[in-house]
Amino acid sequence: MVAAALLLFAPSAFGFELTGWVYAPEQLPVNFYMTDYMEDSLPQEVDVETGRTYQENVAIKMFCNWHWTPYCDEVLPARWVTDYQYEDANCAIFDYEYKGIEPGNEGEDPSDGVVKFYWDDPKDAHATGVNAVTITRSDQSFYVKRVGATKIYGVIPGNDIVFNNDIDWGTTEEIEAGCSGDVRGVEATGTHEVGHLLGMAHSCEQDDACNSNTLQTATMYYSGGPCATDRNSINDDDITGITALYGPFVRFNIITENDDSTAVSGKAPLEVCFELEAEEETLAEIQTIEWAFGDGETSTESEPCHTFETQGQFTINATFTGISEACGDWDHTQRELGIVLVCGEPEPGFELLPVNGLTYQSLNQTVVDTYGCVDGLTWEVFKGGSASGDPLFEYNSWSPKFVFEEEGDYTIRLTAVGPGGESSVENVITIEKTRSCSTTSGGGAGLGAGLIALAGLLLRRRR
Amino acid sequence: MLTRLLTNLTLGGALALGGVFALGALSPRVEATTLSTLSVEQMTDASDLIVRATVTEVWVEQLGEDLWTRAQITVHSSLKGEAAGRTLVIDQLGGVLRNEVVLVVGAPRFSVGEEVIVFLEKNSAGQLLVVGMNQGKYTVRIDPNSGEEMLVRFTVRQDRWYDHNFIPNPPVAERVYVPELESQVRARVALGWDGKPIPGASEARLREINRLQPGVK
Repeated sequence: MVAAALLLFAPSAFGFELTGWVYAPEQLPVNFYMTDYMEDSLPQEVDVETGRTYQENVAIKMFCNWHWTPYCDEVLPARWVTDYQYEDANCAIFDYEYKGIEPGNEGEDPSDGVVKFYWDDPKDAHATGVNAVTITRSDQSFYVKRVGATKIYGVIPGNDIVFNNDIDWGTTEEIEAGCSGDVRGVEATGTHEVGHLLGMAHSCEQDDACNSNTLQTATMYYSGGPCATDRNSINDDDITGITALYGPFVRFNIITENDDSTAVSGKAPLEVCFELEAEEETLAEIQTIEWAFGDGETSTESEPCHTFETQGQFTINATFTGISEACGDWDHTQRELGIVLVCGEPEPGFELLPVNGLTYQSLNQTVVDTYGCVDGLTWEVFKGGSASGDPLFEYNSWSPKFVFEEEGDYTIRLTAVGPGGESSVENVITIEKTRSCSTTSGGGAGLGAGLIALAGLLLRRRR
Repeated sequence: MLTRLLTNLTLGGALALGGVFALGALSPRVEATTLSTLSVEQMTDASDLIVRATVTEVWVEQLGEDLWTRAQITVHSSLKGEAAGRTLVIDQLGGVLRNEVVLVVGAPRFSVGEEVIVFLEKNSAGQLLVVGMNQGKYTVRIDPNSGEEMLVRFTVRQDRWYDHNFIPNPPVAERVYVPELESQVRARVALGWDGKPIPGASEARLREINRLQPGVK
């Protein structure tokens, strides 16, 4: 269920994240088809060696890039096998088979249970800038327990990959020979999408708090940038991810009061404890474990507890090494993105900026560095120099604009709430008609002014 | 179930949803996307409309097999195309409706009261889509230091809590202000399309919705 859109300009050292779906053993091999649309930016001729078009061969190659099986040697052109065979996820066990062209192109429908490659966005659902999309319908009524008691992956009944139209696609060979402009490697882009199809999602960087745009721009490693082939190979994180889905795998959970919770949040300092989940035989294979808690602290305990002292959204990494009979030495890092949200007390703050006459613009200086640590806000306006009695008005927008009817002193209280608690700040504002306002600690007599919120929406949003 | 799901996801950042979904028999549909990075000029060329507007309503609707999140906006001014004063609806594939979850991660999110500058293109079905997913949507916010109107691009997954009020401010050094973007867009609209392809936009459409720069045939 996790799948992040990706922009192809983020730096290396990505991790992986799992989508939450997986092909069950009884569903293998993954049979996939092609629709009969020929993309005109790609080679049109039939390959004499295989009797298939480039589009068909490259779709097979997209699977083979993840896990090379004897099937790849049998069906791909010999030159591709020798020239473009990379390291793959050898501890993963899954197979696949190309079933040919299926006529008709009425539109993607992953729920039909057939994996199809569309090359022309038949539903026109994908806007400019979208290169390719993997569409999955995961049926949770048929699930497999991959590991442990609570981590359950949906079985994939259907998947389609849709390439957008009006993209200047190029073959890997063409791009390696040199190109300019925005030519996209179809093999790299499609391999990335097949990664999604198999259960891979995106991730953020090792030490990223995962609450910023970085999360949205991160990718699994294998991807295709414009006229670039520098990431047209599987890397350790990719191997780890596929191995996690289809090979030996250990994962961890946080221990919370609520057994169903997969995340924890609270006020700093926050102690969080972790436990391992794996098949019994896999647990027995573990040689070492290294934990990184995202705040610079580490541990080599099996199931540690750690206290987070500072505010932030933390990604937890646990690196496991082991030895198995099936594939020898193995290692992987399980990464749970932003599962620990630690918040200090909110830090509200504001100033008023005179705009015109008795109109003032609020400048909301409440700290919102960590998304989720402030999730509610109330402005209250009182007559005079103290916040006593009922407020003249209250509202909940971020930076409202005030229009005061009369000059005088007003007390404005801004309250912010979040997982770290609730805190308020009060300022006594002297409102003057033609001069800038001032913030004082004292207060003069109020003049009983009315107040109108111009931009403030009278909406309290609750989580 | 749904409330709980959203709460967990709100708090957790990126989570393994499998554990949550396993509590019920959901049938989530998910999309994973590869995007091209678009410049402001490319987004301008690809847009039928570029407007400044306020979000007045957000809801999720089932259209055919798919869930779409729809955001109604009231347009204050147009930077490209004519829409000032009009009410428009922006469509985005994906959303959460009852126990159905459709995710298009990287998709723009909207919340009521949000003031936005948004780049919009019309698809063949007449729907207004945001160009380049979240690349084409900016939230207008008052800079807490200067009081100027700055632009914020931020999104979270469609199964998580989104409230424009509480999104993080960009670092001071990276802040972009409304007049900068508006002048960049206006200049591009006046200059026209340079004839270079834009990933995902047809040449015919780009010719139809833009003037051509001098020398472009």
